Amino acid sequence: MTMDCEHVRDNIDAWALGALDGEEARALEAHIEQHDDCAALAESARDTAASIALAVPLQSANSALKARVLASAAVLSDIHHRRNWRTWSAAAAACVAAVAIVLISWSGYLHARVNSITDDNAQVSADATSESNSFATVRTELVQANTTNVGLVSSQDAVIDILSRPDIARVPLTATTSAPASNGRYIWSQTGGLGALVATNLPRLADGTSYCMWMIFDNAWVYGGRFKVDDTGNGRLIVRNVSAAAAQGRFHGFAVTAEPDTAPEQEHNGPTMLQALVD
Amino acid sequence: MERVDYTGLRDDELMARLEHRDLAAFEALYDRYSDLVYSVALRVVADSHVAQDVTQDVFLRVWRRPEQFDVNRGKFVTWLMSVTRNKSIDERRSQGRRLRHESLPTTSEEEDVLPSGNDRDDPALATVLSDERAAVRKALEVLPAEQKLAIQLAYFGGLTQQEIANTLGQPLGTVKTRIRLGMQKMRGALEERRGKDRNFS
Repeated sequence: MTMDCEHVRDNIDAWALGALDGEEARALEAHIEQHDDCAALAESARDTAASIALAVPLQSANSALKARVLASAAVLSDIHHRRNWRTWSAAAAACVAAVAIVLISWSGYLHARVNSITDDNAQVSADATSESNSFATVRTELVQANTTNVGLVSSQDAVIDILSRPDIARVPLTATTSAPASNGRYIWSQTGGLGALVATNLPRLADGTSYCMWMIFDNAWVYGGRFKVDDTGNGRLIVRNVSAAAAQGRFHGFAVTAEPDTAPEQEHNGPTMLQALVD
Repeated sequence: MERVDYTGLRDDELMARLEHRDLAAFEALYDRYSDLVYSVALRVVADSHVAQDVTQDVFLRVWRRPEQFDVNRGKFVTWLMSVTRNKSIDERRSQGRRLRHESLPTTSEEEDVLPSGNDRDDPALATVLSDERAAVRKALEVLPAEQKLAIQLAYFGGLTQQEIANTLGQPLGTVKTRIRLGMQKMRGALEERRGKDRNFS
């Protein structure tokens, strides 16, 4: 139900007296909410209606009623005060409890986070150490590989150099009683002072001991180099810058001995494993 | 501490003190208006015990919820009479049709709101409302009886226009006209008096 302004004006006094039925009253009230002029009329009508009460013959409310009302007000005030105090106390306690819970929770969360971060850091540190070790291993392997490559390239270059010499010679090395199953070949150029030894089936030596290659002269055994053998007893050695000086006397051949790693290069005290005599 | 003369404070000043739980201010308001509240309630519910209960409820509402009075929307007494009337009508309705029939205002002179011979003017009320009450009485006096009756049945009886029409055996349109014209005359008379008051002051 809706009302226009004219309908409202016609019914505003009845509304102020409370004489409209519920639906009409609600429609009128909805209207005056939207119309200031009608709202002003409503205020005036309500004022007029309320003034009717002033015309009633006055009857005295007895003193007992006053005592009852004032006592009730005092009690309500006390209850209100207590309720407020209880409300504020409860609210304050609730706030303190809530703050405590939040702080405890936050503290626990931070503690867990710190532990987690510590664990993470330890893990990262361990991973970093592991990676660092891995890198160190890789780096070592790369250095070794590079060294090997350099050595291989160097050996290849040396072999090519030897093979290109016009005075190239191939000398078979024969076994001795110390290594009866072994044999070897030595390819060398006397003018170039270069040689390449290939040995097979040599026995594995104890740690701290390796094979040494010698060139045998009248007056000296000239040291050619040191090598080790693999699991199958094979070993290789490039011999460089070996000169056959006149002071060393006449050249007789080659020998491979087993010597301690710490032995001086001029000493050959170990057993001869292979040998090749050329004269 | 400064001694406060509560009887000299305006209604809105006393109500402002109620916001701070000033029981003395409440007592001053009670002294000023309790007879009027009780009389209006009694006029509606027609039972002294019920009227006392209504009076108590009205003042305790004032005490508990003083913020419900908006000084910008009119005088305190207007608001207090609206609260009293509405509470009384609610009480009257809650007691059912038996009470309504027993106390339903009639067209007889005994049911008129105009003061009877044993009416008295409350001293406290007289100081603040005697002129206002006199003006309202005068405005009602000049109304045609049928208009005054329709207004009384609505205001004090809590009847709708249709219920008034049924009670009086008059067409609804007639009742609406009586109410509208009666209220317009009352409003005009009260505004005329207030205008004179303003000019006089």
